[in-house]
Amino acid sequence: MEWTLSVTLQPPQAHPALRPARVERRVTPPRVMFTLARLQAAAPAAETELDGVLAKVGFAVQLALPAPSLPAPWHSLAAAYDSDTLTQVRALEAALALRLIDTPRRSPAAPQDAFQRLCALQDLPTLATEAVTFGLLNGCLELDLSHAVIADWKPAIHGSVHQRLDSVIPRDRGSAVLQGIGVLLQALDKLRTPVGGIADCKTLWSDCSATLPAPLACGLVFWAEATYCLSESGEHDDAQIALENQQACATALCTRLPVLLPVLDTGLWRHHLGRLAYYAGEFDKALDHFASEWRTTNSLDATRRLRFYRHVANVLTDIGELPAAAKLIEDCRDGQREIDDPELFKSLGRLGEIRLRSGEMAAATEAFEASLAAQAQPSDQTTVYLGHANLLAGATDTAARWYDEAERTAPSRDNPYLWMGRAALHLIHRERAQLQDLRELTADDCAALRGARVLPAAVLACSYAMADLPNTQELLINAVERLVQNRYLIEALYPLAIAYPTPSAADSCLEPIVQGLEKWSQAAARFTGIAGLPRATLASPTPARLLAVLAECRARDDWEPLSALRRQIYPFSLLEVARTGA
Amino acid sequence: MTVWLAVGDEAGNWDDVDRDDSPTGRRLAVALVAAPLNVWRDLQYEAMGKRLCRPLPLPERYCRGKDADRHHVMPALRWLRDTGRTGEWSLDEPPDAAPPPERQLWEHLTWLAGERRFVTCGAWEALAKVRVRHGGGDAAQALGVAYGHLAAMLLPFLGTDAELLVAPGPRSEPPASLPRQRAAFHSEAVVDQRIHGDHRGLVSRAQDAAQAACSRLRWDASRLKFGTLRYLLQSRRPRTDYGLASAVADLGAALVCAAHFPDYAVRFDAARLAERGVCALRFDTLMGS
Repeated sequence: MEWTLSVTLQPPQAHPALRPARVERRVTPPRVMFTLARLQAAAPAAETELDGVLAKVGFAVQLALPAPSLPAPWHSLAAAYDSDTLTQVRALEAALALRLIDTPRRSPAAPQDAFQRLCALQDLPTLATEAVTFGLLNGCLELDLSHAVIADWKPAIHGSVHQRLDSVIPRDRGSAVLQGIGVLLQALDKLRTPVGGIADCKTLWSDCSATLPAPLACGLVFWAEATYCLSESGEHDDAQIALENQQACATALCTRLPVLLPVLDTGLWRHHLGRLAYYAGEFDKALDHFASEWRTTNSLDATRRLRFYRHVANVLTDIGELPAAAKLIEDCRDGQREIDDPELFKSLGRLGEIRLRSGEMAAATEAFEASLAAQAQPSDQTTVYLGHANLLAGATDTAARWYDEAERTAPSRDNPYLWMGRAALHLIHRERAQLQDLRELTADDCAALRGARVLPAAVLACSYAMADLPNTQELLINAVERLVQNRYLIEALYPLAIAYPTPSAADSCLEPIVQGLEKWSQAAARFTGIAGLPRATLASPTPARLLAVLAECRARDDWEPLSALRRQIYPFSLLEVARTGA
Repeated sequence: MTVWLAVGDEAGNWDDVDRDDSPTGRRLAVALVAAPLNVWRDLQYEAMGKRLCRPLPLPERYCRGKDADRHHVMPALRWLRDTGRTGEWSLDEPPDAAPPPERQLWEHLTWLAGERRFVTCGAWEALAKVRVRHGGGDAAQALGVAYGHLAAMLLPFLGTDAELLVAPGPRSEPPASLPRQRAAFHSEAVVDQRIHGDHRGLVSRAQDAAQAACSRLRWDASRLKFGTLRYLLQSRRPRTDYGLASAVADLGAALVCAAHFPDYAVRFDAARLAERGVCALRFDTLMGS
């Protein structure tokens, strides 16, 4: 921000006939720095109300203006900023950094008008405390890192809040604000233990929020992490409640600090809106939300930017835009390797799935193995994916060994994704009896599967139908309905063509599929256009391609035009190995 | 509104700016002496003012030509050199056993140094630098820039309601000098004698330099006017004695030289002079080079 400041200029010589002159100079101050009040080298000559408010929560502002710069012939004369102006500019630069006030429209600006606006703010202590806390949590405040206390807190906050690592909370709490942040970081650790559900989250928040000096800023972070944790563990309904709590904190924060609104819109603070839309199968909403965040990703730190890439790649993968997904996930992987991001294994896993869907099994295997190696504790899920990759490559024995390994890794866990692989193997080996046994063993469990798990249930149903097991028609129709309800619109096309002999017979199911695919197709075009990402080929089962093919199917009342694309729909492609080989 | 008048004079041989063969170690100086207009007018009725309207009591051979009827420091300096009476002067005590010309010169210089109503400020520099960095071999242009910067420097400290009239010292030029060529006064028939210099060019350059400097400071330069004394004061009554003003300016230039020219016939301590309020900067400092 450029300010017009008053400077008192001393005459070239001390002479009773000459008086000091007041001139105006345009000055762009360096970024204001925040430090702990007790570490401040020297108190400023004069303090404003903002200084007092910050001091009460343990913080102080440092701003060192350069000496006034004057043109010749006055540049060698003694000059000093007027102290009142200096005090005002220091407070204003701090207020701008904290987003307490908006940047003056005119530049350069006279400090007086902006200072009046600052003085007119109601309840400055509360606003300033929330603003400082948010600034620290968002990582956007310039801190005086020459002091070890401050230098320790910056990576501690970033590591816990954004990298989602276990907190390393400095012993020196330094101030009331940092004390509160320490309590928050401990709560984040508990969320990641993992927490049971939304009720546990609410209890945890209730326990810690009573002592927080900045409940809105801390709530924004707490509920963001709760949303993340709940969605990762598949508790999407609870995650939606957590997200609503987070957005309520964001709204309340913006009501008090309206200048914060653009920051909250750009710092991925609303990112879970897109993530949960993805988990709800609303890919168009997810992509449109991510598109609005895309333009500001360059301003993010590497951790947040790279994870954003992965979340976008997740959506693009599921709608078949594999080249775009691959570009993003490769950039994510490379960047996360550089910064040693603890979530690198997730990106490697996503890369493996993209390669698998692209038919590049060797590359998929390599990525899944790298993901497994990067995990602190190997998960059975990655092991199952390695089985799928080998199955699709025709290495059925190797696939079986990976499925066995998955069972050994988590022997007590019911894993429908593993059952899916087993069913495909039975189909390949024409083990009808074993397939019937699997059906009987998992029937009750499959009927109870909800959310994302309706997908492996549908794959199992198709395997039974393809093996000519009895009474599969109702199973298939139910599978299609559950897939459509859970927004697996592309995947639903595979069992649809088995359950219904012609497209006209499936019309009531086809209509919502087509409507959904249209929205996805338009959103994908918008997003890839904004992001400058490559589009998938016509041979891929993308929404656009499927819409064209389905129109042809409906025109001919025949599923044949869909057959080539249908065989590529993952994970049903596992079953196609039995029909066609690898 | 207070109207100030600043009268200028130069010192050192500014003709050398145009000559490649002159020793470059020599120094040049320029000074302005400023005071409110009414102070200039009052001075002509005061004892010191009356003394400055008369030449110094030098032997006749030092008072020839234009120096015969006006106060001028240069012939006094020549006399001091010839009589071996050069050296360091004190601002507080006159030279020992000083004959009347020397005594009077001392009194006049120390009067201006201590006079609280007048502001003396100047600039000085080695000839080589002036030629290369500040004048392009053209004395009138170099002087104009210097006067412009000096006047601009003073303006903000005279008060927000002050108007400053600046009369740079008029100079004559060798006929073949660059300023004369530029001014192209080809109608002048006399070719061997010094003739009026390019004062218009000097004044114009000074005005430009001052306005540019004030613009950089965002200071209103409309109250800064350059010209000859006659032009600046023609409509202002009562009249100011132009000869007296020139004599005071001459003293001002001499003070700058006495503080910063090591070969000057008389020398004052520069720091003590600055304490008295006489400001002298190097050209580089003044121009910001």
